[in-house]
Amino acid sequence: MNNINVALVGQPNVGKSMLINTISNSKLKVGNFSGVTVDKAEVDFKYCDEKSCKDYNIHIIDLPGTYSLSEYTIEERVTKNFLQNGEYDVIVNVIDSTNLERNLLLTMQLLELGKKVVVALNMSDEADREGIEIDEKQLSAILGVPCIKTSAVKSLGVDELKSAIVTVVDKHKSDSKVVYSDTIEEEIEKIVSFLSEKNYKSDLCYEKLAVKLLQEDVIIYKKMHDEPIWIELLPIIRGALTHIYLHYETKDLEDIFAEERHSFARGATLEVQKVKITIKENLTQKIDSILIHKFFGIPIFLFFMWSLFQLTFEVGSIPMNLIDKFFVALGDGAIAIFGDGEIGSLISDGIIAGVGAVVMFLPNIMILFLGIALLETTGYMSRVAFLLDGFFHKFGLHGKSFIPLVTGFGCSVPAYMAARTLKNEKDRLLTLFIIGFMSCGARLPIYVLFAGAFFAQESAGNILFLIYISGALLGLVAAKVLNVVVFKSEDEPFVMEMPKYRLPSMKLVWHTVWNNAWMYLKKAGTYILAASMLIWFASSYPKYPLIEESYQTKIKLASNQESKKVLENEMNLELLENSYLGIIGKASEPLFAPLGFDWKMTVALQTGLAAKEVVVSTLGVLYALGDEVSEEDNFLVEQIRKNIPFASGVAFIVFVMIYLPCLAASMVFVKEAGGWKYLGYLFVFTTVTAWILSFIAYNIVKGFS
Amino acid sequence: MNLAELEKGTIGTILKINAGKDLKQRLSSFGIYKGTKFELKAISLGGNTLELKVGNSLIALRKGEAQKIEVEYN
Repeated sequence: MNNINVALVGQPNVGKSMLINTISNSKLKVGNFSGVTVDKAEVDFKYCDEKSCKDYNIHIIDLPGTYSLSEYTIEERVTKNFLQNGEYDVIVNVIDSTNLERNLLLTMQLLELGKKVVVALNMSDEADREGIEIDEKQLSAILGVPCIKTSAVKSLGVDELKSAIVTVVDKHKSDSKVVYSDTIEEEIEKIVSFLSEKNYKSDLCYEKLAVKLLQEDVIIYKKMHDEPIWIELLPIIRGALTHIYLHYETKDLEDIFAEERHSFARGATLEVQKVKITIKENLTQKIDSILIHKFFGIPIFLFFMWSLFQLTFEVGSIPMNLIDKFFVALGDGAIAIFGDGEIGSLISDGIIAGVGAVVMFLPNIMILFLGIALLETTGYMSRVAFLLDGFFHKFGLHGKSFIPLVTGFGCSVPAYMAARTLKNEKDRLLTLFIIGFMSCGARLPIYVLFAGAFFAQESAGNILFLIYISGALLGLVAAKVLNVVVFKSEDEPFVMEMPKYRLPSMKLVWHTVWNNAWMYLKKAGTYILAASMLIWFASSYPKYPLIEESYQTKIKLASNQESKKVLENEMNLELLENSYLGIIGKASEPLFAPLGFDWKMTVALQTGLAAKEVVVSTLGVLYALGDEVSEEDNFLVEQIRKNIPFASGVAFIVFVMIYLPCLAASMVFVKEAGGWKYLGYLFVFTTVTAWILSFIAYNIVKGFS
Repeated sequence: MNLAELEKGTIGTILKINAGKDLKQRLSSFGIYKGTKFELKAISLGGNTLELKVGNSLIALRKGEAQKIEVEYN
C-alpha cells in the first residue's frame, strides 16, 4: 500500500472545502493547527488507480485559503509554514476558473517551491456558464504540471484529479516550470550552467535554486553560505543582480518578481483563456448594486441582523427552557438518589448545575452559527464589512466587528466565538476585549432589580435603555483607548475580496454549525465543569456543624411554617457568610468600600463571576429571603431600597455593566483569544475600568443627593 | 490623481502604488498592480470604503489605501 500526503492549497472562495467533500465521502477530521486558532481539516481515503492497479492511502490536508505565500494573516503564515516545512508529497492547487489570472499568481509561487504540483481548475461549470473557456492542455504545457478541470458542485473531474495526483507522485521529480522574462531567464541560465559545471549536489533542481538565489531567499543563502562553492558563486550572483537592477530600474527584488509573476499570469491567461460572451454586469454585481447601496445598504443589513437576533434569542429560548427544566429535574433526581448530603450536593449543585449552564447556551450557539455560516458562505459577510467599516474604523475596529459586538447583547459566549470571522489578529483581540461592554441578557435581571428599586416604574424602561446604550458607547471608547495605548501598531491595510454571491451548500453549513457546537461543548464543558465545582466548594465549605445543628433544633421547635423559613434563611446566610466565598468577600470589602458597597454586595459581585443570574439569587440569600427570588420580587426590591443607598446602587449597576462576564464566557474567551494570559489582561482591564467608573458614579451621585 | 478621488462608475488604469512593502504585496496578490484596469463599482456612505472590479473579481478597499493608489481614468 502506498501512502500519499496531499496539501490542498488555494485562494479563499475557490471551493476548496467543497472539493474535499466531493473527493472523499469519508469523515473530515477537524482540529486546529498547533498553537493557533486556525481550523485544520484533514481527510483519509483509499483509492485504487485503474491504470497502475495499485492501491493508495490518500491523506489530504486542507490548508487555510491564502492569496499569496506571504505572512499577512495567521492563515497565510500557517499555509506558508506548512508548505515550506511540512511533510507532504504533492500540492493540489485549487483554482477558481472564473478568475484565472489572479489565481495564477499564487500558482506561480507554488511552482517556485519546486514541489510536485497538480492544478485543479475548479468551478469549471460556473466558467462555462459565464462563457469562459480554458484550454487546460495548453495551460498544462505552459506550467509543466497536470491541469484538471473540476467542479465540486457537479462532481466533475474528480476521478481524473485523483489519477493525476497518483501519476505525479509516482514520477521522480517535478516537471513544473515557471517562465520569466528574457532578462531573468538569461541570468538563471548563467547560474545553472555554473552549478552544473561544478556538478553541485542539490535537492532542488538548478533552475529553482537559481531563482531562489536571485530572489535572495534567506534559507538558501544561509545554507550555501558555508559551502566552498560560495566563493565562486558570489560574483556570478552579484553580476546577475546588477544586470537585473539595471533592466528594471529598481533594486527592489520583491517588486521585480511581483512584476514577473503578473506578466506571466497575464500572458498565460491570454494564451489559454477565451471569453466568448462578455456580460456587462453579472448577477453578483446586480445584487451588489442593491445590497451595498449607499443609502439602502445599511437598513437592509440591520433588518437581516434583527431577524437573526430574533431567531437566536426568541426561538433559542424554547429549547433553552426545556434544557433548563431537564437539568433541574436531573439535579432533583440526583438529590433523591444520593441524598441531601455532601455527595448529593456536589453532584446536583456542583456538577449538574454547572454542566447544565453550559449546555443551556447550545441552542443559541447553533442558531447564531447557522446565521453566521449563511452570511459567510453566501458572501454577504464581506459586504457587511464594506458597509460598516467606515464607522467602526474610527474606533480602531473592523467592519466585521459589528456581528460579534451585537451578539454580545444577547450572550457573550457566542459573541466571543463569532469574533472568529475577523481574520486579523489585532482586530480580533480588540473586538474580544470589548464584547463584555455589550450588556448580555443575563445581566438584565440585575438591572431590572436595581432600576425597580431606585427609579419610578415609568422611567425604569428608559433607565434600562440608558444602561445598554451607555455600555455600548463605553465599549467603543474603550476600543479607541486600547487601540491607542495597547495596540499601538499601525493599522493593518483593509483589502478584502468581495466574493461572488453563491447559494450555500447545506452540507457545508451544517458541518460548520455542528463543529462549532461540538468544540464548544468539549472545550468549554471540561473547564466550566471544573470551575463550577470549585465555586460550589467555595460557597459550601468549610462546614459548620455546630451552627447547622443549633439552627436545626430551632427550626424543629419553630411553631409555624413562616418562622421555619425565616430561620432556614438565617442559617443559609450565616453559613454563606462563613464560607470561603464569604470570607473572601469580607476580606475584599475594604477594596469596594470607596464604591459604597457593603460585604453583601461584594459577595454578590463575586458570585456574579460564575454567572450573572447568580447575583440576584445571592442578594436574595444575603438579605435573608431565601434563594428562590426573582428580580420582580417586590419584597427583595424593597429590601434593596431600604438597605442600599442610592449612590451605592448606581455604582453597583455601573460595576455590573463593565466587569467580567460569566465563567462560561471567560473560558470561551481564553480559547478564542489564544491563551490564559489574555484572560488575565481582560480581568485587570475590565475590573479596573469598572472600579474607576463606579467610583466616579458613586461620588457624583452622592454629591448631588 | 488617486483612486479615492474618483466617482462611482469610473473606469481606469492603475499607474503606481505609493505604499510600503506589505500593502503593495497584498494589493498585488489581489491583482491590483500597475497597468491593471479597473472599474469603481461602489462607494460607501461617507466615502470610507470603495469597491473595485479588477478582472473578474471585486475588491474592497479603505479610503486610506485608495489614496495611495495613483490612477488615470479613461
